[in-house]
Amino acid sequence: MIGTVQRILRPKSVDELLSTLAELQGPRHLLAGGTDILVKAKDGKVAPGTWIDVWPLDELRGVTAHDDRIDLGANVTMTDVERSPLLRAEARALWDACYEAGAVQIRNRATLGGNVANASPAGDSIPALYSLGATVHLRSVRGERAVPIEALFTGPGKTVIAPDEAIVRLSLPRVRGAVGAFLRLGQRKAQAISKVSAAATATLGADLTVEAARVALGAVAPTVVRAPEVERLLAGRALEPGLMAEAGELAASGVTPITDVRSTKVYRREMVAVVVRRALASLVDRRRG
Amino acid sequence: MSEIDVGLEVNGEQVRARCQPHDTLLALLRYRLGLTGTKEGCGEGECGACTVFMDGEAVDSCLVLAAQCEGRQVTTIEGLGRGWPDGLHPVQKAFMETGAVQCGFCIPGIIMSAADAITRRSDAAREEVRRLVAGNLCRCTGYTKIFDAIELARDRVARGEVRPEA
Repeated sequence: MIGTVQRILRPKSVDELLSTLAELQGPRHLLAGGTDILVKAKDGKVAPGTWIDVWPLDELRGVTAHDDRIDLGANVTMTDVERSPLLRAEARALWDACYEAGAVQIRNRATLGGNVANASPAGDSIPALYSLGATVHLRSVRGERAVPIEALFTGPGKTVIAPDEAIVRLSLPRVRGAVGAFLRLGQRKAQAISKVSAAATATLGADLTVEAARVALGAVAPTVVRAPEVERLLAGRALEPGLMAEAGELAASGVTPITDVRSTKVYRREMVAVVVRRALASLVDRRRG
Repeated sequence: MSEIDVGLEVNGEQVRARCQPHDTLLALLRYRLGLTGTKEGCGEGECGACTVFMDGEAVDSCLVLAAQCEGRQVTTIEGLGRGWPDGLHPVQKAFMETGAVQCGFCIPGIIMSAADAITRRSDAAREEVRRLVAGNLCRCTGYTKIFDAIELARDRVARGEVRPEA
């Protein structure tokens, strides 16, 4: 840690943050709740540079419902999501992910903007955001741009976010009647970083026919990935146990996970089938209420 | 790398301290303010031994920079019992009575999490209590007496048997 934080700046507004980012030379790190970056810094994995504390920026906090979308400020914490009846009702995959992630102390500090910017293939909110079709809004003194979340990541810890840009909010399209679920497997239920995870968000007809579905997988590729072959398999068919099992197997055959400190490629591939099947079963339970 | 000056409220008192930019809230509490009740276990947000309240929310103080605490309110284990009979929070009293302690290193953090849990969820059954204190590790006990103590405190508060002093 010593030396990593060369200085710490605390801008008082988003405008001040953006002008600071525009003028700064050299490595800069945005700090929100610190639950990822401080662990990395203690591990010596953060380049020495200027840290910019964005946690106090209340402009970046807040969940706002519009007719067609829900906006989530970058500083919305996992606890904020967990406490939101709106998100539990309309963005259940994200709610599940935030309910399951870390533990109380982590969820109270971990922000959605931070989880996305950290760009871990195992980041729990990310598969949920893929399944919900989230858009990431990036702002700089040059203006604002909207990036579909699937286009944001280029590798583990790598994104298309420019050095002068900051995530200001995420937006989720509102889809009436959509159901969702997120599931993860880790060393233990709390705290552990996911070995494998899956999120699904779908609209199901009264007979459980899949009208539209998005399925995403975590920790099985250099970034979180969609499972388009699974989505095609499900389209227009009724979600019954045989189809769910088939979807799980198809998802497993479509990924090439690696062996690392947390798990093996064999286990991950086998478990993709399980978490996908269970996520789909959960959609059915929730559709039936 | 120049020192920074941080002003915050700790256990109801305004304090100022000189810190390094990389100092954590945990380091500020222990080494600048001498509040050693808050423990450093893993130092990476896994074990919860350093749990304190910041603006009323439980946080791992090892993952908060001291610089982020400017103007904030922090409560540590030393201040948790303020306003309760005998200066002991009902969770502290229940831990003493239940003998929910072995080596004791994890206990300040567990008591902070437990106090937060029963305040927010006075109806929490054991499964929910377990979930709410899942960010704290104890390597001595099997947690049984810890959960018994938390439930005892939860029930006493819920039944109004113990109240904060006016």
